[in-house]
Amino acid sequence: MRPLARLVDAVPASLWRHLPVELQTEVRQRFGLWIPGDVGYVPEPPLPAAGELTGPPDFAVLGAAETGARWWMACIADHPEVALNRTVVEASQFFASGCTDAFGPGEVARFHALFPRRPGRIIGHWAPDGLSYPWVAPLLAAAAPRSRLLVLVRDPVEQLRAGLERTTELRAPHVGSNLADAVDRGFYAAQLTRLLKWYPKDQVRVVQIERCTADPTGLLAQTFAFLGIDDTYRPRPVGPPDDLTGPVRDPLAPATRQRLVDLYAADVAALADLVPDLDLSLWSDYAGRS
Amino acid sequence: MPAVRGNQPWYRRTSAAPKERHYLNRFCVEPFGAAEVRRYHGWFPRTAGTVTGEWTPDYLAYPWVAPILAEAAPEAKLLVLVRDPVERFRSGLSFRHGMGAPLTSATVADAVRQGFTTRWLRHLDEYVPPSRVLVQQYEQCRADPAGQLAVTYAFLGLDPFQPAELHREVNVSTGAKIEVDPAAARRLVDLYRDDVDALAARVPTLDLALWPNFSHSGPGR
Repeated sequence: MRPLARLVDAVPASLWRHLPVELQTEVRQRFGLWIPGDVGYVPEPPLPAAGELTGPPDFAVLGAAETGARWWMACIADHPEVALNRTVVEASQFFASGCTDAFGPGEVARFHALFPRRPGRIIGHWAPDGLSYPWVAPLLAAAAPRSRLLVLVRDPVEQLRAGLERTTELRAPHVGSNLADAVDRGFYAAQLTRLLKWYPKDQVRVVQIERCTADPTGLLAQTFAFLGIDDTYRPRPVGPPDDLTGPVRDPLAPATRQRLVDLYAADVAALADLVPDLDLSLWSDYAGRS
Repeated sequence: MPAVRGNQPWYRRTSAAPKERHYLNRFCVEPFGAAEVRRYHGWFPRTAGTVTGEWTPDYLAYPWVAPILAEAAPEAKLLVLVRDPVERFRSGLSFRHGMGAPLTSATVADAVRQGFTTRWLRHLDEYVPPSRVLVQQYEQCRADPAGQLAVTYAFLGLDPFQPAELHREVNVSTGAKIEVDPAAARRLVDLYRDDVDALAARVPTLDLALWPNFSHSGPGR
């Protein structure tokens, strides 16, 4: 790392936060400081410990942070048959940042190297954009065709609201393209339909995060069973993050909310057809619409 | 509502709108009521007997725009200009990068998303009858501007007219194009293929021979 880059890298996160996120990115990239999500970022694989093997992840969690994906992934990782993913964040954008790049055996090998685990343990990959970015699923399918996929969904209007709260904190401007990205993530049925072109249905499980927050033990047991690990294991209780169950800091105006509810209505109906156990009574905006 | 980037401004200037507005882009989570509609209308002064319009590249692919546009301009006719989505992707991403936008997966996703024209047209169908939407192909417009402009004018209910600057290209891109690996370009072709096939079925005038990436696509091929 060059001295100037080292200096920029040493700037504390609390100071970075005062800059709009696009400016942060521009400065970082100008000094060669790439992070997950930047085009060109390549995560460094962890050094395998003695006895660890690498290979494709056994499962992948597809869902943005606002769907509770990270919380659910942490709950799963508590299971003794699950190996800790030591580069979960660094690897999370592995495919997302590779839309315009070549993807062959070298890239597949680099991906597999990110998942060292001891024999008898399974390991997972978190892909926050795996559902919404259309080029990710075919790449994931090429690198991990037998992985089981957990697709996290949340009331799309709530996901959008929470996502915008997060980007406000990051000082990302709510301009068209950022809004479009946030809005697009809620069209689950369209994305799931696309995903099912690459993975057979029995390898994909849709997890409604509101069911997880209501009954974490029951839903974790179902998740463990889907992943083929001991489903009688009861993990240490880890409560859901505040943005899933805490008070809403910045509620949408009622008319705006209704516009968004209408915007997603057809997709939610299609999702209910695709996922018979989707409980729309947990999505208050859509309760009674099934 | 064009889904096009590149050398389209010559076409825009010879039609109605003097400039991109982007006015409706912000109303995803901001209130949009009578005052906002009035402000929007304020952008379009005209004399009796003339028509006016706007031309914003993102409206088609921003799903919240269609309902508010239908509310604010329920009688407006909509022009959609489509381009080979892979070429559009290259051009759009290069444009954004040239404007100083850092290259992140979100920037790339926005460029990819805009190319799913049929998806966005189907969404538009929920709010605007197809009879008020004209889809034209950028490549045909470049090859035959007079003929395609006549189609546009007829759709808008205007008399035939040939502007003097019709054949002059403006805003020709001079910056370096973003490099897309050939294998990645093929993956993009695969991603867009179903959407392009559906577009060809929907728009009989679409000439896939002008989209070399998809010249073997289309209904019955």
